Amino acid sequence: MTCRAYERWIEDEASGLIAPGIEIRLHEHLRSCGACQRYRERTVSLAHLLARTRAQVPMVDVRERVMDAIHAGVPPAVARKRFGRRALWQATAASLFLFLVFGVLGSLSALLFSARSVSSGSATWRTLKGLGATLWSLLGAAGSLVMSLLDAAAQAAVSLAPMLPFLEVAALTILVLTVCSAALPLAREFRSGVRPQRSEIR
Amino acid sequence: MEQSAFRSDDEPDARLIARILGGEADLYGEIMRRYQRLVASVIYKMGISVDDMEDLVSEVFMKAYRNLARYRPENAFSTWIYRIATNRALDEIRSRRHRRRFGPLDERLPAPGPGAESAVNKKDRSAVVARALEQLPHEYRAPLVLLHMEDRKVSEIADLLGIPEGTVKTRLARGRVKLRRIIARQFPEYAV
Repeated sequence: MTCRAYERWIEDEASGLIAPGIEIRLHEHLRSCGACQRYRERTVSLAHLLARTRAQVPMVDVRERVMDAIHAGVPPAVARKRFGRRALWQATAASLFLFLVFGVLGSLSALLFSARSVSSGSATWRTLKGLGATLWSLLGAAGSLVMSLLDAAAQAAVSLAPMLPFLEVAALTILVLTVCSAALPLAREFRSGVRPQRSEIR
Repeated sequence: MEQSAFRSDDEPDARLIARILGGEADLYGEIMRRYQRLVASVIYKMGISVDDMEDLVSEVFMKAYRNLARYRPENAFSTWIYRIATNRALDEIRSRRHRRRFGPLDERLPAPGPGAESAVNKKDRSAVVARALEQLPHEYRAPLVLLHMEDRKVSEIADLLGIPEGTVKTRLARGRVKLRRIIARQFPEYAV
């Protein structure tokens, strides 16, 4: 058996998991191995240090505070997180900015759809296409707004922190989809070289 | 109301909780009197600063209050609240990491770096470990704290953290190695 295997037993011993039979074998080995002895001394010493660390817990009495919150029906976490509130404001501002950007992009793409459709298709079809484009861009923008707000809420409320990566991925996906949906008609227009005329738009 | 609070001193947890759920909200003060030390202990030992401790202890009790109907009397209330406290402390550690905002663990300690060790006297040995613990990733810190500072068994730690016992064992061993490295690098005088 190698010293590496005995080190694992030493770790088990420090974790209170070593079986009595194994412990005897370990101690037999320790008598003849200086390296493992030193490893065990270091492990035991660290365990003792940890046990002494922060042994004196400061007294806290939160009864009055919690009972006040319970009577008021307001959890104390709401008033506590100054950082969280700042993050919430920042994220809300960012969300509104995104909403505006996507709103403008969406409206522009809807406008181009309608303008392009003037020359082809029936009036109903043109209206439907325009409406569809507008709805899609609005949905994307609203989705990005909701996800950004959720993300902000997760930052503000620490208990939601584990959800943060999922929210961020979801928000990112929605943003990418919205950008694509808004940018595709624009790209198509530019590639085909068709520009909407003022008179056509009207 | 005062009278019922007085009578609640020696009442079992489960009965007390049933009364709270029945509308006697003031009895929750007695539950807090019994367990706030336990909650404060786990939060403090996880490396939360004294300044933040009171907020976190309050949050744990508020969370427990909101979820009191989910408590199952067949299990000890202490285990239930301990789990809430552990998870809350870990959330706080994770969110601090996420925000890259580390509060000082012990103001008496100098910033780590060359010469820092000479300013720390031997009485601060446990403060050195506390500082090193603060720098340990939470997945290694939690098992070490729960085992060595809170005297929990490996099986209990696995249950509290929701991970297999084998993972706890691995994290304990790796955590010790990492902790030793941090101490050796920043406070060589206290290397173990």
